Amino acid sequence: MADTAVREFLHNLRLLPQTFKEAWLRLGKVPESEREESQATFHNFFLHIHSVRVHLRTLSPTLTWGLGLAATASFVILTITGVLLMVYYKPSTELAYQSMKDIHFTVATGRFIRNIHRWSAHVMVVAVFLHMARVFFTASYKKPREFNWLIGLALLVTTLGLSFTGYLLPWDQLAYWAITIGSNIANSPRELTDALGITRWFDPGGFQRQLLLGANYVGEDALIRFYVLHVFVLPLVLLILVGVHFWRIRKDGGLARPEDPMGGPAEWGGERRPVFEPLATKTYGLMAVVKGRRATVNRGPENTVMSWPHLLWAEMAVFMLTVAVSLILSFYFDAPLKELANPAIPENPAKAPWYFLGIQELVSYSAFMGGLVIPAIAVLGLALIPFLDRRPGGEGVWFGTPGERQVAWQSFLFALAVTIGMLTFTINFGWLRNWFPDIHQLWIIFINPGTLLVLFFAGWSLWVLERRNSVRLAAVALFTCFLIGFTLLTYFATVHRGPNWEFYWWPSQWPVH
Amino acid sequence: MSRLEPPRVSRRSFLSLASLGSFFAAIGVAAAGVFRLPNPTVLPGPVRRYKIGRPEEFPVGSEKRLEKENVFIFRDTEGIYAVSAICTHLGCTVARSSDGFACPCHGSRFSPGGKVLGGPAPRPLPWLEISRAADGQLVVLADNEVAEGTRFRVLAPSEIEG
Amino acid sequence: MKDPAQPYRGLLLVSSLATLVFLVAAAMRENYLADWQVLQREYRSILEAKATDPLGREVLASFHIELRQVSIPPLGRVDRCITCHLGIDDPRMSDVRQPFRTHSGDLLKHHSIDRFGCTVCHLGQGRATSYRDAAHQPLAFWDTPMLKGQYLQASCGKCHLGSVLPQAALLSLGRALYKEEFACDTCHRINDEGGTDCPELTHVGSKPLRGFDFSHVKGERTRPEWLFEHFKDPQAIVPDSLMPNPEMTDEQAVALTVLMLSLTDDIPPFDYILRPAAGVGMGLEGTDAAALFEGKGCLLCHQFAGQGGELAPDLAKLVSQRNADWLFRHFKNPRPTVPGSDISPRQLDDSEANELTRYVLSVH
Repeated sequence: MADTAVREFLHNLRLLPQTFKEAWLRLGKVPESEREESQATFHNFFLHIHSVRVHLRTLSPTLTWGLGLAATASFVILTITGVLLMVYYKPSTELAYQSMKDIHFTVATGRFIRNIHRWSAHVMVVAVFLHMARVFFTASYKKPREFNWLIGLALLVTTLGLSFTGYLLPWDQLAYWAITIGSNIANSPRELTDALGITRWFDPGGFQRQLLLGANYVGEDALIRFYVLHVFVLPLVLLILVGVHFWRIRKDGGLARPEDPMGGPAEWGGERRPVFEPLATKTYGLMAVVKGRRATVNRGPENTVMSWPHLLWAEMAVFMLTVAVSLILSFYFDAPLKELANPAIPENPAKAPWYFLGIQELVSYSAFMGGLVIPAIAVLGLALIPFLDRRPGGEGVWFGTPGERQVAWQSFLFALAVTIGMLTFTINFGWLRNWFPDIHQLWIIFINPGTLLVLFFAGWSLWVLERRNSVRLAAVALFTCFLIGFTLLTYFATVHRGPNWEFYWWPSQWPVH
Repeated sequence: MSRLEPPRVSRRSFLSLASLGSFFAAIGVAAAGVFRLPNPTVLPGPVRRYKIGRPEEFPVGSEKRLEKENVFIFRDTEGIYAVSAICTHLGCTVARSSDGFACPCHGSRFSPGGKVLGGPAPRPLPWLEISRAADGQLVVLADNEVAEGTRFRVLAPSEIEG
Repeated sequence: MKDPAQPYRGLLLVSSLATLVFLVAAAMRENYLADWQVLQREYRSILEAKATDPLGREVLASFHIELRQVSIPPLGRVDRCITCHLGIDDPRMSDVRQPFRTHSGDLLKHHSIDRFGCTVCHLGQGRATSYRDAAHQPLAFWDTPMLKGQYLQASCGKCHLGSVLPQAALLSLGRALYKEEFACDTCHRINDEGGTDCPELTHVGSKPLRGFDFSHVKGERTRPEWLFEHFKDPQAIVPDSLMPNPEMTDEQAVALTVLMLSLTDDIPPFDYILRPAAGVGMGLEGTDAAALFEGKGCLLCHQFAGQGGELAPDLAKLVSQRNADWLFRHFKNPRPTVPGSDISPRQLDDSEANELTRYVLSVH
């Protein structure tokens, strides 16, 4: 066997393409049986976050509308386009604006890539908001998914943080003044501490602002801080949170759905049979250990299908749909780039990105309450929902318990009437300061259209709680009110607020200066 | 096939293939765009064009090193020429040595005319174009390589008269 | 069993195809159909038509379709105008259509594109690569659209500080009118000269457009138009203005507008600034700068213009050997600029150091 080593070597060399493929793909071919499909799922690093089988309800487009996936997809798009922009962007007050111009004018498809980055950021924010609404109205936060609801909330805040920090980077007028306002919202606890006369000893506002800007003005230090947050810290946080979010979906037994009837007929067109053909090596055993009340080991799959390929088709479709929407928007609408930042001349009106305009409307009443306290109350209230509403029922079904749809409609009309009424009143008659010019700031802080709206909404929710005798219905009432209030304020500030934050029917009526 | 393994739905339908095909095509085109973008369309920075003074400032036999510009200027009886001081091996700056130029990084050695005498350098040091600006000063165009031996001819006063 | 993935396959097909179409369309739009690429292809055909002699063939052979730019770090400029204005320095192109035509006049002879670029005189957005974005016409979100026609003379005033510049008759007229005819400086201030009761004019030429109230302007909403109409009738533009109506001719109003437009904060570095011919001062003698120079006691040690001590080098000699940047740093903090010297620092701020530099350069 003198030449066998040589022969073995040549043999191995000949087989190299195949052995490499096997080493890389494990299966090395398109799976042909369910067993191979299950292996394709859990032997793949990127796919093993899926369970091997997925419930038919989960695949139903009208349950989720693919919103979570769309948010994830836009994050992927944002990461890719963001890295590309980083290649040319220069985070310095001297060069940032010039590098934006170069991205527009000379970088191959640079303007298009920037547009995609901008538009998928909008898509992501919309998707995250709608995803939260979907999870709420399908009661999918209920036990055992309370913690994942909190993770989702953290993802919402991180998403908004990413949008906000990205806003400063072009260093144009829009950026400069939006961040000036934003950082002064961080400063707004001073409104309260000043009114109480304790700012000298206790100044959380000044501390927050300084932490954000690294200076007492928006300048080079602020730009670098926002840049670091935008390209490193927040994406990392978001990535980790997304990972935990997905992992919890697995551990909490997949997406929330109503119980399948025990042993009953398949209601979703599924079928009854054992999960896998009986085999000596039962690799799925540990995979199925989940927190749900019923594991699917040794039991008919009824309304489930294999994740590979069904779930993959759905994921690819939603991913490409998100890409297509971002691309089409980017093709027709350029991302704005205004004049170079000029600290001497404020934008008028200086508007924040649209998803903060609702808050900006509240801020126009009181920076402290509108910019910090009310958003904090909203986030805290959202966080408490799954812990206060603990009665099971309605999971995974839109408006799943009796009366929800009705309460949602009533709350919709209530919030619509109260918000429009409050705005109309404020615009026509002004507020406390117009009537009592010397009024103490404390009155304005605590009694303004924003705080009154919150009180109205809370009161309505308590009334529902008392009257309908259901925590879930009270939560539906409050959530709907906040959603409608937020949407209306956002719309109002976007369309009807003009220079000097005055009311105009349409932007075309803004005075030419 | 086991009784428990139901017959497969045909996945290789036309729709599956078409959608998968277009999916990968779209990803492929996007990837091409992604790799196109970092390649700069236009190089930043100014043209490398250096004024070095009037011809009279370079007497026959003199040499001058432009430190920042990485260029050596020589004047011999035939004229003025500029040799790049950037080693053709891996881009270090060469220094004058007794027999010409020596590169400190990997030991390439060049003759005073830029020819490779030793070391790993694959080709001679490039000669650079010299021209004259409107104000009479000489200009080294460091972006333009010229054939070895191309000198800027300094006209003798008699020739100018003629 | 119905395949639950079927609708997703359809959705995937539709969205992938849409993605593909728009990706290809965007790539075409930005990489092949961009204005400048279309123009450069047209220019190549012009070059082909003119390639009748060896030089013409050489020019044609070295022509590539690519972005072109002039980068001038001292001016903080990157001008890509030559991406479309391709024949700007080719004398054969005097008979072709814009944007390919040769630059008019012989200005490029003294203002080489490599050193000056385009926008330092013409303004506009030099980084842009399309007609619209270059701000040939007023452009939203760009503060300095191009100067047109006679107003272009304003740019000469950025470097040519002397009071008379024959090639820029309007600028010279404006400078004369400002002081002599209308005595604007009794009320208005430029740099440190003039009264303080009226708005300062030092940088009026680069005042942001948002700072102008265009609501009463009849013509285009541009700086020149605002200034011109204001000179013709101040109260028509600024209703509560206290400025007396100077009742000037159109030519005078244009000349003063040119002067105003020349007063920008876009000041080229000292190397670019052309001092007037010998004997013509810059008008800085007897000003605050001169007082500053005397007040800081430079003459205790330095020789300058025939006066002063002999402990330190003659400043006039230094001026001829060093550039403006060195002088500026020397005035700010002298010791690092002259190693080993025991000259004492004079606590000057940037504007004072600037003034001194200008002064020393001007008197020399």
